[in-house]
Amino acid sequence: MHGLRWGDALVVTLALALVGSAFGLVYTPAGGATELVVTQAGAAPRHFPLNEPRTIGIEGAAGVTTIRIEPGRARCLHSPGSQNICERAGWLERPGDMAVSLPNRLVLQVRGPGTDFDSMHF
Amino acid sequence: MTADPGDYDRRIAALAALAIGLQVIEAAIPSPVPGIKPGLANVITLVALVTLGWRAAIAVTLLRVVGASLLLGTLLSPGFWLSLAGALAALSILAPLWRLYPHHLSALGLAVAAALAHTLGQFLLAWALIIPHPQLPLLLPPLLLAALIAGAVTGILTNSVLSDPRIQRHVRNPSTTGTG
Amino acid sequence: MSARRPPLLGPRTFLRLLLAALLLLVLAACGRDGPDTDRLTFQAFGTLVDLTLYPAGAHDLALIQSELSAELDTMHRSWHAWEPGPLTETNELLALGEMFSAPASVLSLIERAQEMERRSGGLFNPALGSLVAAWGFHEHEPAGPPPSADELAALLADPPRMADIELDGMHLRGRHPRLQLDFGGLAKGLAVERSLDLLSELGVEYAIVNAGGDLMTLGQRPDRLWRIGLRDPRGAGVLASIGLGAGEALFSSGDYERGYEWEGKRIHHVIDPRSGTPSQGIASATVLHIDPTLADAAATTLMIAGPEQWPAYAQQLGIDHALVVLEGGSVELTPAMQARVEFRRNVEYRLREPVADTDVEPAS
Repeated sequence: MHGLRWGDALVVTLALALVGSAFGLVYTPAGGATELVVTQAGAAPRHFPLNEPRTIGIEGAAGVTTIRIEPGRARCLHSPGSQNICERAGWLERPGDMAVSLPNRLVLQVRGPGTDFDSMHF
Repeated sequence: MTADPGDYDRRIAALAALAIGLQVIEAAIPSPVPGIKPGLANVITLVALVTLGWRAAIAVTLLRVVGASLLLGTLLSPGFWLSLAGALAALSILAPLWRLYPHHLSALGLAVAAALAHTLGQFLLAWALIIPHPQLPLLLPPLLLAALIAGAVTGILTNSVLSDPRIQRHVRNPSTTGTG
Repeated sequence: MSARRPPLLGPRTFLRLLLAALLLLVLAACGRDGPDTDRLTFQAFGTLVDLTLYPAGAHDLALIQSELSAELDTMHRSWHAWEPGPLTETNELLALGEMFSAPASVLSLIERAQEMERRSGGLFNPALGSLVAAWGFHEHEPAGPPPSADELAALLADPPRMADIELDGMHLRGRHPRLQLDFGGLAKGLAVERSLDLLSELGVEYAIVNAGGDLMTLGQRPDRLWRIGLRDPRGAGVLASIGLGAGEALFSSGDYERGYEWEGKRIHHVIDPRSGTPSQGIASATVLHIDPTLADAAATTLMIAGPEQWPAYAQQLGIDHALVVLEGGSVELTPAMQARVEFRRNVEYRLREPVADTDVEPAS
């Protein structure tokens, strides 16, 4: 290798950082969901990052909706209501995935970087 | 070093011809996004830059873009604009970095920076105007990686070529101090 | 050695400007997606209402929410199929067979419903409230047992129809003793339409009113189309996305909405008036149209029409944009809908052209 300079090391390092972050930004891990947004009638939306595994409970008019959070995904563990609509939605992992609990008047939706929907039709 | 204007023009023409040749060959390589290439011909831009100076580099680059598109029949097509965008982006990054050559930066640094700028410039034009598909950024990381590798390889090769004493004579700012 | 000095305003400056422009382009692309709308979620009209307002921060959200939920709740009470209110009173008076003065809130629904019954060849029949009640859907938590074969036979022997209502200006007279109105498949469309009028009066220019998933747009945000996600009726994922312009309504009818399990079978609330039983074959039908009441009724009609005949009924109702998810999970849609929709995952779909079919009951 002829005549490499310190500037080369700097350029190559920056280049690697650029390429690395491009991969990181564009290919977000585990399906792309990074946060859970809980919208409840009459309350401000609550945001929960989908990082460490934990279980949270949201109080509603009909009882408690239990939500399980794991890295990159969330699911409705238990929610009041005879039809189990919320539980049957399964794991929410792609940005836009949602589950609804009508008795507790809340909507669970996972969001990620990238296109956000103005509204969800279901 | 000769100051013969005719000689200067001949060198630009020769380098431009080489660059056109490289670009035409590169056109045959398939790319995930049509029109976006690693930019191998940028190495000629670099050689023109270090041996003949900044204006020569611009001349060679523009001649290459137009000449190659004439040969490929793509003048004023989206491919032409992509090629131009890449070339201009590469030149833009070389403008500030060029001053650091050869004491703080060798052709490797210039080539890598130019290659990345080239690909990024092409991608931005493609995404903004030609294919504004929301999923297009998925192709950017591998394109950038290809550019990085191509830039590194051509940069190292250029370093080798430029350090040859027969070429050193022509280099504007020789890396060895003293006589050129 | 010759000195070639580049001019001061040479290519270098130009190229630096270009670089700056490129950086700005990148920054602009990065700053593109952020919350630029306000979202309100509240309970009204018996469901979750999700309101999207553009641009963010431009409206009095508290005022809009209170006005809109008050209006929606009024409509919900007026049109409630079984709780005492204007509609139940109307049903009682219709059963008497005497001319009476109808409440204004119900009149517009009756007119639209009569029109929809005609256009759907009788498939859309809100006069069969008694049938819906027989299946247990006139309760807050619908439950069995389903009607016996005898009960069904009795109900279907001489089915009441919208045409059995005589409409004269503000006066109504019922000509069938068992006529019972249930506007489940129509009321939401009208409610959404009225909501948009209210928002307009409140000074809102760009909004989406989404009542339990059925939505309509008010105006179109100036920077792009509205992005709407279509959810997979069987799961959690986003099936597709669709871009909506100004004044477009997207309504669905599905078997996942209201229903219960009876002896292992799923009983849902969309009853086929021909058989008297819940419709079969289609899990959900989605319609896009500028008339929300038509979209609402059409979605119900297509679901009843079934997998074979839904395109024919679409054509008859003047619906170009429809998407149907069959019970097995496969997707069928019209070519016009396919042009509007962008599937998010690898979905196999089948194109169906809305064409008239000789087997379809003629619109009477």
